Amino acid sequence: MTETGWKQRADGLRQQLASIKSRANKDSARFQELSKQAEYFKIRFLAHQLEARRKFLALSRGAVSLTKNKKGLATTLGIAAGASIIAGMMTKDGIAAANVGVKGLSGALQELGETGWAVCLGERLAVASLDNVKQGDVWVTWDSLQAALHELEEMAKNGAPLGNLDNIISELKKNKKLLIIGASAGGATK
Amino acid sequence: MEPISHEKKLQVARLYLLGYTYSKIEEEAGTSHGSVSNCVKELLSGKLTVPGVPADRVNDLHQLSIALEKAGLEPSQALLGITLFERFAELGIVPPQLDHWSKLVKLYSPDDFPAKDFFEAALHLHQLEETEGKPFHEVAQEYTSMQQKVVEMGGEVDSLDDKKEALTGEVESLKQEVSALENKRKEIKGLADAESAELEQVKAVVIAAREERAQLNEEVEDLLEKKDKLHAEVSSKEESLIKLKKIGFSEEDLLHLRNLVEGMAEKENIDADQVKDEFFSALGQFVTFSGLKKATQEKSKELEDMVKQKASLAGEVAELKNRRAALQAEVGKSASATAGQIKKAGEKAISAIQQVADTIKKEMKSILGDILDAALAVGEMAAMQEKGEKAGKELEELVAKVQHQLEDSK
Repeated sequence: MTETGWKQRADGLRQQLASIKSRANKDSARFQELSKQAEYFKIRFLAHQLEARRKFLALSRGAVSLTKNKKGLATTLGIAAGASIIAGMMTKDGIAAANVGVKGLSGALQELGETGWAVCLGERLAVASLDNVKQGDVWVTWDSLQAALHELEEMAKNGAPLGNLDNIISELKKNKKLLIIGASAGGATK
Repeated sequence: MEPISHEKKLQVARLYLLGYTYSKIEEEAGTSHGSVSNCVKELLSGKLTVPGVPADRVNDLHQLSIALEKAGLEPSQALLGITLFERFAELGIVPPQLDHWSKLVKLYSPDDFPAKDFFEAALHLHQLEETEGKPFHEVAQEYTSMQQKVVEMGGEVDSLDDKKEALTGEVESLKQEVSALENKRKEIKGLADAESAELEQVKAVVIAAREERAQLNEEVEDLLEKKDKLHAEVSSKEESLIKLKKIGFSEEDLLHLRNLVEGMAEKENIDADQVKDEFFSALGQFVTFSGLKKATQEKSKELEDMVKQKASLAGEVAELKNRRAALQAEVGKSASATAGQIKKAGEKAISAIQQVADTIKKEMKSILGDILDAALAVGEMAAMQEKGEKAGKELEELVAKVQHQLEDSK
């Protein structure tokens, strides 16, 4: 190969290498962004599902409370609204009428069912009101879990790899903001 | 107004609790308006109690009865309703969901689709709308959009995979080229080594030529010495000859005379001095000089021959000198020119090779640096891709696991 030929080949090679490097850097940045988004969605999804579960439980709890406390029926919601619900349930044609009362009731029922909440971080994920927390598992208060989840969310935004659900739960358990219910040692109690 | 019995009062109280009006109670119980009014007052103040009915619930029950009456319901129907309501609540079904369920069942439940399944589906749908705070069609639209995004991302990942493969291929090709260049460099180095070896051979030839020249110098020196010696001898002979010419005898004459004397002494077995004395005595008796003249002429001829021989030797010596000088010049010139040429050519070749080798080395170093940079970037990209894929997979697993666990906890 002549010297000129060699130089041409070398220059061509350099250009190819520069192009490869540029493309690799670009793709690398894109993959990094995708990773960050995936990590962020892990925490968002977990928080969202727990919140959805809590709302559902609050609604159910409000409804049960309503049926058990006859006085509450009268004082909180009013006799007329209660009667319209019963009427709506009993008569097939009363649905539209009952709907009017029900729509206002939905929020009121949830409000009625609101209480202190706890999340189980043991073998399985679970949400329960504080009075329904069972012994023998790791339960943490709702608010402290939200604070810990917020910290993990910030970490995820910065691209920290959080791993699978078990890793995330394990990481949450290490968080000092977490209040563990009924723990004798090694964590805060409520 | 006459007093009424306790039983009558209880009847009035029960009718009041059932939501009856005063006039209807009067009619049903057969008592006066005043008696009914008094009974109600006692009931509300707690003075009169109905078994099984707490005093603080009296007003609530009366109002409920009136509401049921207005709705056209019997208390037994209301009781059935409450029982149903409690049953639904135990199952986790709240009134808003029940309402939507019954409405949907009425509207859409097909004959071959069990109402229970339909209810569950509707319940989940409602729950979804509640938790998302959006109607189902918007949620479905978002889901479709996300699914499309996932497909697009999959395509992108495939494209990146292809790019990665292409880049890997390019890197391999570059490695091969680098390897070929390395071979070329080795080949050039081999050529340079061969040139160096040839140069060494030329140097050896020059050294041999120098040695040969030194040997010739020595030979010339010998010849010069011989010449000087010969010259001295000739000079000595010339001097002797001059002396002999002056005294009338040549050296050869004397030598011959001596040999003659010694030969006679040996032949006669007598002392040489005695023979010499007798010889000179006999010589003195020569009558004529002709014999001596003849002898002198012969000696002169011999002398001339010797002079000629000397001149011839001097010519030979001069010729040898010239030849030596010419040879020396030739050898010197030849060796110097050859060595110079070889050296020059060798230096030029070495310089050119060195220059090319340096350039190649420099280029190679630079290209290797670039290859390393590119390889590092590709490696980093591959690591990022792996990280992204891992995170995506973990997210999928997390979604499934969280949904499963929270579903199970219901």
